Amino acid sequence: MTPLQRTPAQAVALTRLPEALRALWQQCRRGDPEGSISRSLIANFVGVAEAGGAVQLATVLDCLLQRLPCRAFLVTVDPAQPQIQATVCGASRGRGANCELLLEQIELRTSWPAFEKVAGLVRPLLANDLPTHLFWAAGGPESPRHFAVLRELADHVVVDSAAFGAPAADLLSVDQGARADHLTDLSWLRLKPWRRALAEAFERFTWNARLPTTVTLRHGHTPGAVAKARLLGRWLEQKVLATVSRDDRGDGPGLDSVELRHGEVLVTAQATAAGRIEVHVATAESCFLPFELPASNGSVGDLLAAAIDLA
Amino acid sequence: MAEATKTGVTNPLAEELSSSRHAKPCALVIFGATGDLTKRKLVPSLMGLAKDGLLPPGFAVVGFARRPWTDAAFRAELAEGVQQFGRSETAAAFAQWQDAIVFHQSDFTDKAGYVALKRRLEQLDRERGTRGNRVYYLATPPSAYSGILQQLAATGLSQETGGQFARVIVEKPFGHDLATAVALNDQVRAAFSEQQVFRIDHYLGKETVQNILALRFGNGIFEPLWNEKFVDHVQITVAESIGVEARGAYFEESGIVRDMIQNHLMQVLTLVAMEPPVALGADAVRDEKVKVLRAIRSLAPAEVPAASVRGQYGAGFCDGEPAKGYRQEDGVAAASLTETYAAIRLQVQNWRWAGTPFLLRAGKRLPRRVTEVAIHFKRPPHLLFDGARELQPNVLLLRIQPDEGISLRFGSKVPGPDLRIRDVRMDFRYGAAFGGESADSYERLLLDAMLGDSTLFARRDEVEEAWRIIDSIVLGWQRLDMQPQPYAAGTWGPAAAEALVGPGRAWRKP
Repeated sequence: MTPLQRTPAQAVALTRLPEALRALWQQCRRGDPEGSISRSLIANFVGVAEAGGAVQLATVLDCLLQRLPCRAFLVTVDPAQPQIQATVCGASRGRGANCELLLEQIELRTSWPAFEKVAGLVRPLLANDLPTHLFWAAGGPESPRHFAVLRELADHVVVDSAAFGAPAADLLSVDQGARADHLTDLSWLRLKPWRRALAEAFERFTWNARLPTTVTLRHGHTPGAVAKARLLGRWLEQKVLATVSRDDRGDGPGLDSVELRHGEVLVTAQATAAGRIEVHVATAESCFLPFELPASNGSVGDLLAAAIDLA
Repeated sequence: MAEATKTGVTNPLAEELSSSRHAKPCALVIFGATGDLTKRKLVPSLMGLAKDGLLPPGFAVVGFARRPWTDAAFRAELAEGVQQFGRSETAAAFAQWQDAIVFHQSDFTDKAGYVALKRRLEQLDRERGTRGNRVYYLATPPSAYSGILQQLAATGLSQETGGQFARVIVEKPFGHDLATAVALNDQVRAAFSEQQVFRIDHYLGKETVQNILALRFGNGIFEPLWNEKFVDHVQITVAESIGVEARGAYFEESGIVRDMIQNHLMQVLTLVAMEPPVALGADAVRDEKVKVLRAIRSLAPAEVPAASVRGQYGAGFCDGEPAKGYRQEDGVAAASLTETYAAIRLQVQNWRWAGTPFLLRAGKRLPRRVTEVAIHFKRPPHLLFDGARELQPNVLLLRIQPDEGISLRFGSKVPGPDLRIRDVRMDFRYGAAFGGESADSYERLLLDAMLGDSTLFARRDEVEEAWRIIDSIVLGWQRLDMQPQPYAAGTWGPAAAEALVGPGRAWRKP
């Protein structure tokens, strides 16, 4: 596959954004008037980060672009930016005389006070008939109003509760703002290997709803680790009626281990230094061979792409 | 979907296993494991599944072959294959899984070798948690199938007991003609029931082949036009720019019609022409596919010259380089009459397709490697615009490889004061829209076999119906002594093929 070629970012007055987007078509032809250009966009993507997260947001978009050609709005909240400033750039991939436009990017820098204007700016620029995915990477929504400003534009909202200051409370406030079937939490997707490991373990014995199930989750004390443990604990409470306790004396950035007792069955799932989850299952009659699964299912960009695929 | 455990109580977390197609624990036994297919395709594909987390934790591979290799030698050979042919990061997956790969030396007909295999598999059940589930892959020449199948049956390895599964994957060619296909199917049936058999045609594992179903039945706009009222004809092309390479001796026996048309092209044809299935289950889809084949009448020998063209490449130029003729290739007879190109016109005689020709062609040493399906629509009933007679009819093009995608050709007004129209094209490219690295077709098919989903595998009746059609054409060629027409390497086949398309039509030059 030929590499992506980017056009230089150009500062554009807010009123000239439509023309700047149309001009990308010409710029991507790279001076070949005979060459044809097609546009392969399949979504609108709106990413919101605070100034410190702007670089990571751009990295996420690079990763996402491998699977999601899109019109992307990268909104960076910067207190030093009282007025909204915009830059536009594009990315294309050439094939012989043909060229495909894969990214139309509008970067908006704004302060929180000016943030209310962003929705009015973005709405008319969304590419027609394409789904809009909002990725809120600006930490916990300090004000539900800020989140609501963009949420109503989106068909699908992605948050990362691991980045929230108070995961439980912030996730609740996001939950209330978005319809559940339109909201994906990357922390939940990050737990997929743990959920699968436990599901595999449950294949090795017979679960009995009448027997008590107790679970101890050992995890680190970073917000991400707390978010993961809370989500996994809530899931086990619902699915296997477990009594869950959390031990935050772990030293990893996420979950260290899960110990589950169900009658005489003991399941232990442990994160290993090699980046895997090792699972042991012992019942009164037998001790099963341990098995392993990869503990990670990718970067933030990979998870975001998966969230969009699932939407 | 919750899955019942031994006592009937469900695994309350089972949806985590079923939601993303996780296979049950199993051992994969590859017969002929020292061959190219294992190194180039099977193990790199398994490692692709491992990388994506789709291999079950309880999984093992047993390589079964005659050569006196050790586990270590086998693993070293496979590691090289994964490095060379695997997707990115599959080498790391191999490092994690290599302990689960073992080698078992035996002759294919030696009963003691199968008894020892059984013991080895039971050992893997204990050590690797494969839990008595087996998938056997016949990656040997077809001449070895009979001995393997007999021994699997004789040692009870083909039997499914206590909820454990035993499945067999059979590689093409599925016979040399209808009679040999029936005989092969009977041999397979003697050891395995049809539900246990997975006849693999890697074309069906290609995303873009599967996309034919998605395009037709996942969209409302195409299906109303997908019939003889609107479609003038359908062209299905599988073109290769290479010659027979090192396969001269094999190709002498098969020819392009048996090597490509009987399987790949006929499978694609059925997907294009089938009626909507009632569901996406294996038998529902395959029932509809086989109905298409049944609706294609066998040709009488006298009809064959008007419905088919055979060709054989001579010397020419490919990619700017001189290319030798077929008869000069290694392993090919100097006076060979084997076809390296074939074009066939078939009629699907049912309500939907009556009178609409399906034109199939496959060839070697054509100008470029391409596989595509072109749906040529009828012209509008009345031509209003200047120059409209020069306009080409609308074509919906499904490109299967390379540059996988879909494009639609239609007329558009040329800017200016006159009302003139010109052909333009609207393109969708898989690579651009979905990006990333596509899994190899073997990945999809191996996973499906482990899951027990046979939708993308050929059923016995499909194979035999396809042979019935092809046999009638080959018989016509033999009876009427139709010799292959010469064509220069690097061209689109013999000139005689143009007449096959019919008046007012032409073969595409993709």
